[in-house]
Amino acid sequence: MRHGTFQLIIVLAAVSLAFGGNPPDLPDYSDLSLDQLANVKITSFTKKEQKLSQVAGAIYVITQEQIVRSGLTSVPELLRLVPGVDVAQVNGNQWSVGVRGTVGAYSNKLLVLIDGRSIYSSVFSGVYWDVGMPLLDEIERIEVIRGPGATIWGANAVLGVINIITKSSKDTHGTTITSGGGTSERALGSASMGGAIGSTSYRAFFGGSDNASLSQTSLSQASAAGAGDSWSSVQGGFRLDGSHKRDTWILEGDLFRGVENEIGVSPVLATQRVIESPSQFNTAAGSLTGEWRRHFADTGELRVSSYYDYADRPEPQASRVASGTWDTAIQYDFTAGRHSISAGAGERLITDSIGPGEVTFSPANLTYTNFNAFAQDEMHFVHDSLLFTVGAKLERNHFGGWGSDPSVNLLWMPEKHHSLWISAARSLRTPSLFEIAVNAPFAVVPASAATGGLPVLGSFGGSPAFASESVNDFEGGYRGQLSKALSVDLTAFYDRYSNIRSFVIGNPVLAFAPAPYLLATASTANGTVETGKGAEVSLAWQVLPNWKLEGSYTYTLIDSWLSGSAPPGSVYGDEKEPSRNKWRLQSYVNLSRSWQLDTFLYWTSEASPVTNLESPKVLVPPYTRLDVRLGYKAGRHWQLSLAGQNLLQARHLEGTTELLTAWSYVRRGVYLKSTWQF
Amino acid sequence: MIGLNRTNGRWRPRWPVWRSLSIAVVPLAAAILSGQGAAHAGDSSDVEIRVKAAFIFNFARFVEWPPRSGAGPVRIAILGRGDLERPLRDVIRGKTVNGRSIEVARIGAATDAGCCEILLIERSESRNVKDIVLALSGTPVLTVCDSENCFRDGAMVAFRIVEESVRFEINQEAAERTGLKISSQLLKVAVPGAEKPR
Repeated sequence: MRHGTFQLIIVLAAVSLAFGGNPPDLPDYSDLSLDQLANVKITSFTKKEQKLSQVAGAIYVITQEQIVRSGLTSVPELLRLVPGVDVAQVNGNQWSVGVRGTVGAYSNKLLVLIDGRSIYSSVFSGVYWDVGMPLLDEIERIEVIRGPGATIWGANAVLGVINIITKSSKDTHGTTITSGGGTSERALGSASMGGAIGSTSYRAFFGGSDNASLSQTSLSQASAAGAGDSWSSVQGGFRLDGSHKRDTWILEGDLFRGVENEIGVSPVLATQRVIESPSQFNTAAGSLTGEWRRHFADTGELRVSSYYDYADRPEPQASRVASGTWDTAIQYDFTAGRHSISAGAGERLITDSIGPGEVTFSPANLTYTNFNAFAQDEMHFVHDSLLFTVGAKLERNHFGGWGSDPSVNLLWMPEKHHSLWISAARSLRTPSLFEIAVNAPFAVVPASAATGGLPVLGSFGGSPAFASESVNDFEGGYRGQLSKALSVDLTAFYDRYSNIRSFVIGNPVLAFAPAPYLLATASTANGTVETGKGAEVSLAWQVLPNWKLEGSYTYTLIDSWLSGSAPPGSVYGDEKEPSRNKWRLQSYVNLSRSWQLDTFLYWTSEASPVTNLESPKVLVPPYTRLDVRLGYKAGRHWQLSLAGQNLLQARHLEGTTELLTAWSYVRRGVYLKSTWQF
Repeated sequence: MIGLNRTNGRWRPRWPVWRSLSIAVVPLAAAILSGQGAAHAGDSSDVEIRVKAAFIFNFARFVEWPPRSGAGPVRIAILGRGDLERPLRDVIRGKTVNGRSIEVARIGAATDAGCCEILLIERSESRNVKDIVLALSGTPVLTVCDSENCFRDGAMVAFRIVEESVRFEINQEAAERTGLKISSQLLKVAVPGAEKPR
């Protein structure tokens, strides 16, 4: 298999050599109309740095150009591009996306928003990356803020916020059709059509994908046929953008449907073993979002937005895990003298509904509301070279009660292209229905003399007393343009976590159905304390006019222990060890006007991403991942992309799941994609 | 939360990975070097300056000068050092506007500018915009500046980056005071000034 790697790389390199020497045919911008000129995107690293130079935090933006050139095919995969973000595909339809040490398929301290709509699950506290994600061609950019963002974005933006922003329909007049397929993504396609009626622009889109299984699962002994976790999806939607004098508005909606195969993991009393069993289920999601903005005089803007979001993402052990969220928010931004002030409030009505299965919730259906209000003041001093920001959000969560997310930060720009910042913030991770109401059997201990001749069933139990987790974060950084071609971004952080989830293992109780056994329940509690520290360094270097390099290094260290006040019988809840060292290198080369060769190299050190209540630690060995994409622009309307992923190994393990499902190995994959725009 | 796995064995360093990488690196470097110089097209900052140059060409098309400036060539004078001279010369090569040819010339001082239709103030001179505008006051010269800040110092047109696109502000009032007529097509694309010029 390794010969295959050599050959592929050599062929790619040879192809690039063959076409590398062609003199370029520069596009002549003087032929474009004024409107067209005004819409030419000039995305570049240097421009990005300039815009970001005023943010007192660690922020990174994935641009449209990067989305195309990465050769990646899904939103969670794209997040690999971001320094400091830990992405691991744990099986065919689950990803672990973490920031600063929060890893796992139910990584719960990262908030994800699509055009302002939260897709953080209120049932499992985490994000389902396989349900309701926008088609990549619809995405304008992805902003990733590492570090707390709760003051503005709200609860659960504890260690990071991911803002997925879709294209305005004003920028997408015309038709775009993409289609492709390969070994991992067996088929993918989308079509989008847009235009304008009067001052209102519209776009309608439709797409789908069919994804092959990964390789071999965690328990079953090597099955070359695959991990049984293939899935496919179809989706469609629309977006309207309008403006009239001082008002602008957006109305957008989408529907998503998927069929997924997954390997469920459950303890079976009869055989006294934990077994893997294949399951198939349907996922569904839909949303409708409206936003209206009005500008006042020079300095004020009022924004009112409302959305309804529905997602049903069953688990092998629960036939329905559905949440409907209706959220309404109002925000007013204005400038007064040296103050730039934002203030707002919002309310969210959530209905959770769990279907029957081995995992039960009590209650299985619940409707509740959460409320929040916030204010933030950004003060400008010394000709805007010193920015001091202070703000707080006050929240009432149905499970967690009242809480606040305050933050304060200071940014100093001694020169135009250099900024230094420090920040301190506290943010909350609110309890999910799972932690309050679940009963999930997860382990079985065979009968022995020590167990009194009865098998023991281990089960997770939610506890109504479970409270919000909190994190105090302190960080600082430097961002600078060292020369025209070189920019650098440094961040160091220290996080102090308290009230983190732990479990209290209760005394076994005797149960009788279907046959006598002992039931040991591990109930959620708030007994863990953690610290996290680390540093992130990233560089962007325009080596040659046609060659851009981006590199980063991330160091993360998490320590956890039980707090002194934890009750007897407590065990760590989230004793995860993320990989301490991560390197990432991206190279973007324009071989000629038509040909692009882009290379992505990732190196991740050993990780132990899963907590073990009773079994030995699971190690994910260090791995090196190489992705390569060759792009060809055939004229103005047509573009071809040949991409290879995980080229170095036939398969490797990136991460593991936490509960309910099996994990599998990521395979080498190649696909071809064509994009036609007219 | 639960470990369901049999523990993995220790791993061994995978030398073949590095060997395959080194094999990849040599041809890759060769490919990059052979493409260098050829491929300005995709370079992002290059896109920016060439879009700006194309806009300046369009200013010549969509601005009308008072009749006394005659039917000679449209003259674009460049003051100071910046990125725009080369792409501008590329853009206007062989072009005419409304039957007039276009010329680009570099000038030494703002006082020479009375002799041109468009004065492009490059970045190195953007701090002196106030003086330049003062020296030109009343003459029908479209002052274009490649810096956001110089709009409030009195330049008639200033480039800005708005949502990753090149846009510009126009001080229509100042331009029309000198007898220039700015086409509504151009005004439609302009962004409203964020700070009112003094």
